[in-house]
Amino acid sequence: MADEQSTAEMQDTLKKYQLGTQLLLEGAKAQTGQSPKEIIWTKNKARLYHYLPTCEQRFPVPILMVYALINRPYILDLMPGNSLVEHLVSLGFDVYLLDWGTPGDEDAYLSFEHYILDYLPRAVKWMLRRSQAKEFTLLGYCMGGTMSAIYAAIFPDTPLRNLVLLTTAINFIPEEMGIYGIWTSAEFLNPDQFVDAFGNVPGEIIDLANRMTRPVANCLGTYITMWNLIMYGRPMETWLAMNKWVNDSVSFPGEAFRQWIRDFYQQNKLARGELRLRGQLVNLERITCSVLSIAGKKDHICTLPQASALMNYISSQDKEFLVLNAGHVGLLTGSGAKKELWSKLGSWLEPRSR
Amino acid sequence: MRFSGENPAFIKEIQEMPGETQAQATSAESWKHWQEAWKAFYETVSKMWPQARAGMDMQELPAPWFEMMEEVRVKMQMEENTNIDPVTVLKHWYDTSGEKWSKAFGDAIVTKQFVEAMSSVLESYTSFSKMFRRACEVYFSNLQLPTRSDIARLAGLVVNLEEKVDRIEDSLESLGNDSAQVSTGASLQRLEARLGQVESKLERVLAALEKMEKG
Repeated sequence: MADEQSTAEMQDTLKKYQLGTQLLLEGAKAQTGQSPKEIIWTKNKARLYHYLPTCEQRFPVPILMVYALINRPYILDLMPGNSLVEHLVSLGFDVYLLDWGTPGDEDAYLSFEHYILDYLPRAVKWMLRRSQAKEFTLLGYCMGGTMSAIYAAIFPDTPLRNLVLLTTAINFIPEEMGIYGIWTSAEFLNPDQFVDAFGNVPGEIIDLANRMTRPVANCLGTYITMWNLIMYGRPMETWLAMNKWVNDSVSFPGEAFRQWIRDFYQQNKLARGELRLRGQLVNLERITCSVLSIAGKKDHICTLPQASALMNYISSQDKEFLVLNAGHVGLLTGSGAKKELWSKLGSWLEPRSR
Repeated sequence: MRFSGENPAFIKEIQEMPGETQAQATSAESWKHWQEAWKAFYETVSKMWPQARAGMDMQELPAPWFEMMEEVRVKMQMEENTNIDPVTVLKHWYDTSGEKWSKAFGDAIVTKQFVEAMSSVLESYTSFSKMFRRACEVYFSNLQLPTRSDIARLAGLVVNLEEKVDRIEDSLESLGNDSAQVSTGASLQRLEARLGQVESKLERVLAALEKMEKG
């Protein structure tokens, strides 16, 4: 009897070790981005998704989500029950998501000019056409937020009613950028050498740089958590989905990378009012719509001063800057996000979307 | 440590068991061996730490390392569960010293020396990648095989074509809007002309009525 118990215990432990080793070697597999959606517009690799309503649409102002050029946008629709998109759709919002796609070698020339002046306005046009709405909300995350703010400044006549920015850096002063202040300084980082060598900067390099900002937590802590979940038989779905997303990086289009490092990180042109896209000056003062900017206290990728600076530049009367007790990604997903970000977003958007 | 596999009575007991039970008992026994071996390893290592610390010149290695290791050892020795597997040890180690390691690394990676070193590594890496990429391009071109650049050029043509289609679509749209305005203007003119005709007819009817009244 004791032997049988011991055998079962051994088999169980061996299975757990096998699972853990498999995850370490093959990477996490999980079903992500499952909210029902349709593609309503494409351009090159970009896709504009429309999330199908699951209840009666209560708000005539649709939401267009804009993601960053790095990583995949399904973090916004991670998995059922842990999806910002699903939450907004369930509140009765008409939700759209602009996915920039995976750039190929032929897209190495794509710059912020292309994305903000060519792609984004077209996506807005198609979204307005599909929703038959007169106004819309633009919701940008991370670099997507910076791009959204630039769009709002360049096209003040667009029917943009609300601008929501999540962990969005506007001011790139080295002293306020944490670890990136020294890592991206012109003294140590020359973006040209990456673009010349690779065309598009490989996602693995971007990913490694992001991991190295917290090497112990990102390279070891994550897997300690994994083993802990496995050994104690706890649910792993969220960990699997998150780990899949973390390792699912996309290349950074070369020209956009060059601009991002040089014009933003090294020369801080946006905050200084010197950024020009095809000759047009980006003046953040031209933003007059309602603005909500949310940043995370524990975010080391976009620090609080980098995000809060926007409030000083825009002309909007209705503006709010909110700090949540979360990190760069934890702000979007997980139990903390449900309690804080999701409820705040819903309550802020509802009266402004009628 | 004496493995029970060396016990003749145990071997006899196993041999007398039916096939399936025998295999089960053997694997259970080997599991015990594994656990015992791990426990022995763990105990040996945990005893070695303080000895190593006492015998070493503290200036050779940074003191925080030993402090962390000592904390881990003490915490693990306090652990009531004697069935300590590698994952538990790793977790203890991480829980105890993870924060300190994070701080140690965090402090290191923002130093100028570290960033300078990384910058040199990246420069070498990108230079090598660039050279390797070029060499591959030349090699495959000489073999008359399409390279990534060729495929990218082709894909670029498709992207350009799509861009042209987009522009045509935009032009058609604006043309559609313009022609809609033209047709509205023409319709209004036609409507005005017909209204004029109706008006003149009404005037003639009125004149005829007036004539009839007078007559």
